[in-house]
Amino acid sequence: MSAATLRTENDRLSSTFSALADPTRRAILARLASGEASVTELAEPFEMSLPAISKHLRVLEGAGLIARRKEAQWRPCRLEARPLKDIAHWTENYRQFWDESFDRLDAYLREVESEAKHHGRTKKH
Amino acid sequence: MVEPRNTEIHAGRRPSSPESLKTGFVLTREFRVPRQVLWSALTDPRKLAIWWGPRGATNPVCELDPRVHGALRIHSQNPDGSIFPVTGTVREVDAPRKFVFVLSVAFPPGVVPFEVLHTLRFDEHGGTTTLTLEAQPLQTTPASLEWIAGADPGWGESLERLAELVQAGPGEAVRARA
Repeated sequence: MSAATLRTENDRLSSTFSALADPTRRAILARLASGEASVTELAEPFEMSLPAISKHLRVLEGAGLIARRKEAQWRPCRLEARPLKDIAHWTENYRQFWDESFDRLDAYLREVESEAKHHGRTKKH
Repeated sequence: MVEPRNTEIHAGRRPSSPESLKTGFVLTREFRVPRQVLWSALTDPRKLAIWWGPRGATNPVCELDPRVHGALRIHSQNPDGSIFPVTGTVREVDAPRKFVFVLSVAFPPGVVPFEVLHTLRFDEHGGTTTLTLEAQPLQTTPASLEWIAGADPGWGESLERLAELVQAGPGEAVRARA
């Protein structure tokens, strides 16, 4: 894989992280998980202006987390699952890295403890 | 696949609630040692070099200055020869209770690094310490894009550091299990 391809893939992952950092945008996505919705419908639970909601939607669209249907006049938004899967994949891999590290940390601490005990028995005093 | 114990992964579940869409993860482990011992194993670079990374990994470079603004640099080598380098900065030190640092994590090896905020909490009860790791991805930095070009020269430097370590004497850092 070329550096340019890696850069594009990681920029996408990075923009997904950024998009998910905001609680309003997470709430919008959670709403879309139960089906398509218009901007007006999405704005309902929030005390926010339509332009403010539209701004959040643009960020989500830029991150590839939502898509908007062009054919319908009310242009409903729908959830796109792919970026969420990428994030989940990354997170699981990195979690596993730490999980295995902690296995080794545990083994190391046990080894140190058993060495200390052994040392204690063979001490002259 | 075995369900991970004591682990919470936010992203990737069906996004039924805003909370389920948070990125990052929380990992909790119990270690049967006092927290001062655990603190030392995590913040002393010679000890860190022994256990950092998955099974079979060695850490020819492992540097950590465990003070606020202190630098962290680890080059971890997997059995297949691939290098997993991380650099970072210490954000908060409250020995032996809390250790916070940001790492530029190029994971999987070879990709542009992400900044990930790591918060380690140490809670001791009757000689057993519960360690909680919270990992929160931030975002790619302009510096991390430049980093990718320098990844290979960095490995050459790692070998030099390894040579220095070996020459410096049989410290714990060179005992990292293969």
